[in-house]
Amino acid sequence: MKKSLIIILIILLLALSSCNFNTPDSFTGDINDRKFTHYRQSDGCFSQFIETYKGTYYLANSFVYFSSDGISEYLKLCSRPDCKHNNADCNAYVNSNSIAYYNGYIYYVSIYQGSYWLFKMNMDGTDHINVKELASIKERFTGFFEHGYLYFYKGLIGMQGNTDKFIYKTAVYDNGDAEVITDTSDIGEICMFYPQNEYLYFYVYTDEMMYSIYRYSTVKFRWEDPINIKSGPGNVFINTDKVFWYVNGEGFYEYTYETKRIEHVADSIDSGLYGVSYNDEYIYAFQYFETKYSSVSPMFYIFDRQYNLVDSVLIDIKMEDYFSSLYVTELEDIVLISTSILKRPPDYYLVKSEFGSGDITLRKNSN
Amino acid sequence: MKRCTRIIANIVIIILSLSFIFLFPSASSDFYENEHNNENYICRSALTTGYGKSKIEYSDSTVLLTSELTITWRFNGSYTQYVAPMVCGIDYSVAEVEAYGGSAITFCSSIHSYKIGSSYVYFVGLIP
Repeated sequence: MKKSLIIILIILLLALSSCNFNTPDSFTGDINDRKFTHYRQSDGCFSQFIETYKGTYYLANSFVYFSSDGISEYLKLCSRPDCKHNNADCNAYVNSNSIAYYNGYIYYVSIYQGSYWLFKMNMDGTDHINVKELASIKERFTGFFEHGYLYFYKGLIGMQGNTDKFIYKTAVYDNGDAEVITDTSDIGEICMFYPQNEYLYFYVYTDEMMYSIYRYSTVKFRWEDPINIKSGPGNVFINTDKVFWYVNGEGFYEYTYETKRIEHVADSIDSGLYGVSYNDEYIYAFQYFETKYSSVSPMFYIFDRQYNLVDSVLIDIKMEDYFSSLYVTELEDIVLISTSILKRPPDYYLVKSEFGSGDITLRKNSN
Repeated sequence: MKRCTRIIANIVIIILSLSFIFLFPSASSDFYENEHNNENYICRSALTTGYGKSKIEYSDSTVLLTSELTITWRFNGSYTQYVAPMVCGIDYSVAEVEAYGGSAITFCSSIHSYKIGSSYVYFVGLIP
């Protein structure tokens, strides 16, 4: 009797520890390191993934999932024993399409009492608190987080019917009012924008698949001349000095802000359709299915930052969403892959130490 | 007889030609009718490659209704999909919300959900 009680207690302790989202408390670095708080423009998903000092978080179908290292099992961010984790009462439910991290909290924007509100919650999913009202339902809302601030405009990116042309900035850590930081009336209809350090980048569709990228300095309060490219933001990377992009069928391009010169720097990968992600050490080119019922598995190419091919691997798994990116993000040692980026957390990964070996293995997460 | 066959053939060709003209852009829609607290409600959902709509009607005009619409879209020339923030319409008797795509984007899928008071009564996903 005693023995079985002990066994039951051990099982209960193990079960409870698997729902503990408060690991690891031994972290001694800066919890606001910019790698945790920057806008992740290289990701294949869209403000769904965050990396923090406690672990990684992923947003899918309005639920937030947690994995301690990105490849361990992704659990819904709720440890309430009475919760079935399938409705709006669950701690993991945020009813939002983007999440961000700052100073020990997870932030998101959701609809509450007829308006868009900024919310925050603890990193274990508890205590959802409405921080401040941002826009009314009629005004609509699109926003992006970076380094403790939310940049937003009162409209829907890429869609018609937006009337307010201002860009607002507000701190996430207090309940102060948002301030207008610039007016976009003169640059045309914005179909995308995001923050990146001191700059805001705006994509404006011109015609015939051409986009103009404008940038605005939030330090110097100044617009710069636009650059015209034949690629949407999914294949573009921008830093302070340069714009990098890939055009299917044409190849890789670079633009230098100082010289205002565009250069064609490398040829196209092949005739397939690719998305491209630029990272510190590597450039990843991941193939899209061209038709819904394609029988050909997509390729994943790895280039160094000088556009030399390092390695490649066939992603020989069944993709659920043929139009979705299979690439999610890069962490320190791994690259995360998903068969359905919008519906569930990453389910496969590549190990970076195998790049260049000619023998990369596609591994399944422990889900 | 021959003349009749020719007329039928011509009609078939005209119908086929018209169907090609009017089927573009692709579209899908959904109609759902049910009862909530013994009162009738109807949910109508629609999506084309550039337009989305959610609409709920409810017989009891004293309860607040909510139509919610979330659209997944992609840029022309790029294949990454994005999810637009949810838009919603809130009103008594009839609540509806619409979203029109700009020139640079194509709608890929949508989720339409409907609330009577605070209760979710129906949701449906559409592909154009």
